[in-house]
Amino acid sequence: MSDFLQMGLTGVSLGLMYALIAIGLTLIFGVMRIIQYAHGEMFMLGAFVLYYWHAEMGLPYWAGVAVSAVVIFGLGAVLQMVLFKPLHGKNILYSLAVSLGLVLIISGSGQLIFGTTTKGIPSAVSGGVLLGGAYLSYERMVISAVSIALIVALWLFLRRSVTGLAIRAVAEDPDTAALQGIRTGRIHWIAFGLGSAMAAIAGCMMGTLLSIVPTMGFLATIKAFMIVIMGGLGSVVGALVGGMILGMIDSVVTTTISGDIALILSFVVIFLILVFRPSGLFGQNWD
Amino acid sequence: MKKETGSLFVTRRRLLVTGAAALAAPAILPRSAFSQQAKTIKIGGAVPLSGPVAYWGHSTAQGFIDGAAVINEAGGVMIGGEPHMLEVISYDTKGEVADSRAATMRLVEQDQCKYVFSQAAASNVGMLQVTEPAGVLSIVACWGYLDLFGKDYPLHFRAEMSDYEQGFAYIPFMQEKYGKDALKTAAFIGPNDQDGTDCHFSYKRLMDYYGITQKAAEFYNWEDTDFYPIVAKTIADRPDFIVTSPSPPGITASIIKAARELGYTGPISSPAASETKTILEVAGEHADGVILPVTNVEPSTDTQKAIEKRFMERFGSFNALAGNYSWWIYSLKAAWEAAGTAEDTRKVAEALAAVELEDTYVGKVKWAGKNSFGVDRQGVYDCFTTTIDKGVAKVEDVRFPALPADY
Repeated sequence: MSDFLQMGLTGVSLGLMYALIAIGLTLIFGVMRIIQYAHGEMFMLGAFVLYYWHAEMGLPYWAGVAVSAVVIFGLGAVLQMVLFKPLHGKNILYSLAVSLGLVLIISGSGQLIFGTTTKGIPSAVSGGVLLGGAYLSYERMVISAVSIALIVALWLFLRRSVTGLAIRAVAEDPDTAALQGIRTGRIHWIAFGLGSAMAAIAGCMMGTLLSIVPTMGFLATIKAFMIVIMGGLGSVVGALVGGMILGMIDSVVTTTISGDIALILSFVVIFLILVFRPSGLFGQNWD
Repeated sequence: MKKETGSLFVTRRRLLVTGAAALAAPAILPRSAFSQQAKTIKIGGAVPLSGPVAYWGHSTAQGFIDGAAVINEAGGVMIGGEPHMLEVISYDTKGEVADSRAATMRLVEQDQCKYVFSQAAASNVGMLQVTEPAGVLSIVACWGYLDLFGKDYPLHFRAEMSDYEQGFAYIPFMQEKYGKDALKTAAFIGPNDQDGTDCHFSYKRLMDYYGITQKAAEFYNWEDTDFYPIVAKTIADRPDFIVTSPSPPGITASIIKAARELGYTGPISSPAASETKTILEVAGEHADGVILPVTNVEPSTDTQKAIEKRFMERFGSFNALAGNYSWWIYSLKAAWEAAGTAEDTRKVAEALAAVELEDTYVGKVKWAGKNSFGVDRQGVYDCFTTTIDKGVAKVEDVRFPALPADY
């Protein structure tokens, strides 16, 4: 019984972290209709900002998470205005090429600037608690809580705030939104910055739990894409559900069978979803 | 938090300095090395200088760059009474087979190198496609791809001890430290690739030799981000100790952290993770009880201290791994002088197999493995084993591996 509880707790915490990475990506696609392959690099840079702030300079952990989010928000906004804005309305392949170039530039520069050794970010909390025979570390509890809080905050922001409603309007129909007086250019950089900041916070959380290297962004991007395709491009709820599915598969199948089978099963589930729901679980038809 | 300036940290400066030095070694070698009077022996490096395993590549290249400078300053390699200067040329393989093959082609055909060093499986595989047919002697660090160390590659030398050879030092040490009865069963965690499969094969042989029962063998995907599931599965079998070979330091640290959080208290040995700083940073308080073979965190002999000092001056930093690789070039020097030639690589290979060095960064060194590989082509040396206790890493044991008679 405790084994299954352990698998469940691990799956939930993993799923929430996955969702946090994926939500930024789905937000950017939903608003701008671009595939941001360098999303994982924002995740990596976010983790390194926290590393230098907290591990190297010894400054407070949570302030570092906030600084990381702000810095990467700014970087994302600048990238959108300088690189992606001129490509708006053009074939998606242009933005794809730009974001792939960004992946190489940022990860390559990261190795030169940050070095190639793996680094660790000291955790803000330590210890844990036994729940029905299953162990749950306070670190994972905090990370899960932060993930939930951010996802809920984003959901509320998109539904209750003026800017959030404008983001949804632009995502739904940019031309009509513009006719209503919404400055779509402004919404684009806000959404890009916000999505990047979400990735940065996810990088901080996962970097603390695991370890960080300049090449860590690639895997994060792969996971994020798997989740976003599963949940549906542009859907925040889809990213959450997709993250949970992937997290549970990773936890339960790896523990009971093997990691190889978990990876295969993850893709089988994605294929099945795409066969029966080509736009993903909660996605729209973007054709 | 105070910034740690430990010797294992790869700084931006170090990376830039090493990369620049590796690519332009002539610029930092003594002028005499390239004078008209002295002959030159070119040593090529087909090593990853960028990409995920760049750390290993830089550490390897540094040993050759430093060693060549030291040997040249001392008058070079004496062959037939004539001094030969050393020139080191390195190209980046990016840790990819195709790039390594291209880099080695350039070293052999354009630069006329008859000696090539390499690092890690992919670079090694690409390099061997060129070196062996061209009669070029290669010297590498690579644990997987065991078939590459068979009789088909007589000019191929593996200088770094793999987890197998290390085991004949650290398993006896662990048995003394914890007691034989406390280490009757073991579990293996490694990557699900050729390296992981080969290391598991080596580990199994090792455990069989010492009569230790294998409880579990789990293989993770490089795409895995969280090691809770795989560790939970491993420790469910209650092994007395866990081996995480050949996992790099970051993954090892994540495995250790997960194991301790899930309640596992036994020793965890990690033959590949020789970066204590990373392990302490990532695993934190959970790092106690970790065994790190071939990891010398406390250079103590005059030779070790001198190497550390030179590396600090030349590259801006020093790490235990670079120290471990620093003897390779001195072994080659001894082989050239014993063979009386640097042109005939087969003669040099025969001489190299017989080289023994007494005082290197890793202490005593010799080549072994004739019964296993047909040639004494496996570097074997004193194994400095570091342990972590109460957040502090220290060298707890130094011994030469007690290899089996039929090795």
